[in-house]
Amino acid sequence: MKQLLIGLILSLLAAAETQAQDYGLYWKYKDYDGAIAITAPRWAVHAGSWFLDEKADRKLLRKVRKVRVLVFEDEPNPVSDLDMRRFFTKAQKRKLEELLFVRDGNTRVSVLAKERKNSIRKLVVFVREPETFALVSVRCKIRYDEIGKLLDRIPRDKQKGGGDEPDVPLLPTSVRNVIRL
Amino acid sequence: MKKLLLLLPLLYLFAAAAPAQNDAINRFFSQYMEDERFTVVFVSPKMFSLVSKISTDDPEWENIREVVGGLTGLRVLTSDSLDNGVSLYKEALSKVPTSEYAELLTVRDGKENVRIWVKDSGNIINELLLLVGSPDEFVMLSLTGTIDLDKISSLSKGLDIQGAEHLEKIKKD
Repeated sequence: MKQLLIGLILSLLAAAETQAQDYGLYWKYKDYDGAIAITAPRWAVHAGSWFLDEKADRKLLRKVRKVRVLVFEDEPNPVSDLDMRRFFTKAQKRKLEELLFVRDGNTRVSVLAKERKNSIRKLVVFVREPETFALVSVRCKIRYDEIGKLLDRIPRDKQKGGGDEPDVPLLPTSVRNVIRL
Repeated sequence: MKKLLLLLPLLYLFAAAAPAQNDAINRFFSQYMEDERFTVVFVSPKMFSLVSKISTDDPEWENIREVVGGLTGLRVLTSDSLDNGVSLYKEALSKVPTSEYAELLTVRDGKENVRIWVKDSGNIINELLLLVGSPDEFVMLSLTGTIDLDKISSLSKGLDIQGAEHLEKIKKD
């Protein structure tokens, strides 16, 4: 009986830890109609890194511990404002701080990050529109010097937006016209 | 005791008056924040702090890093598809507390008006306000933190935000 209780407590703690990454938002909406919900655990990210040519890129990708994506497209965005406010309140309490907010027309983009001991531990990007919602959450441990090295490897013309646009841009065109990330 | 009681409301009024001037600009931002004709950009102090920690071999980046290290926030309200850009510019102009800000630059180029103000305490500039108005364009940009005027123009390229290119005008030749 005692073992069962300990087991129950431990599994509850583990569940709380996995849900904590997106403060319940992912878990609440992942089963809604039209939701595209993807969780890539650490092993999947590691496996993906084998396909990269550069050793430095492989090394950097292995610093990613979990990726979660939740997308609703071409239907009314079901994520309520109340849930968004709850997310931001919880995020603030857990030191996930807003870095950037852009509103262009009815498109809202927020970028949040959590840092600890000279490294980025979490990165969250939201894109909200009346008929689109996208959440990308990346749990990682990437040091600032590693980001610097990554920037050094990107050719200067691409850093300034002179290179080819990615096939699947992270931000909507309307926002990219205003601010380039 | 009576004097102290009289003094307290006075002190309160004095303390409340200082940020009230800045509130006029905050209110202007809030007024148009949800207006879909405008694009709003907020960059938090955390973003500047993170960027300042990333060093690269690129001298241009290092220059930007040096500038953003002292910054604590950026707000931009911009639109390029207006039919009353000049009246908005005039409205914003009337909200600028001129006793708090010193005018740094005024440019009138054709139908385009550009004005830049700074707010300083001693030798340190801690706020820069940029206003641009033309018949179809309006930009209000507020930058806070420790600002080095000699280097701030480098941000115009680094930020790549609509309206930030006007910071280039501060460049000293």
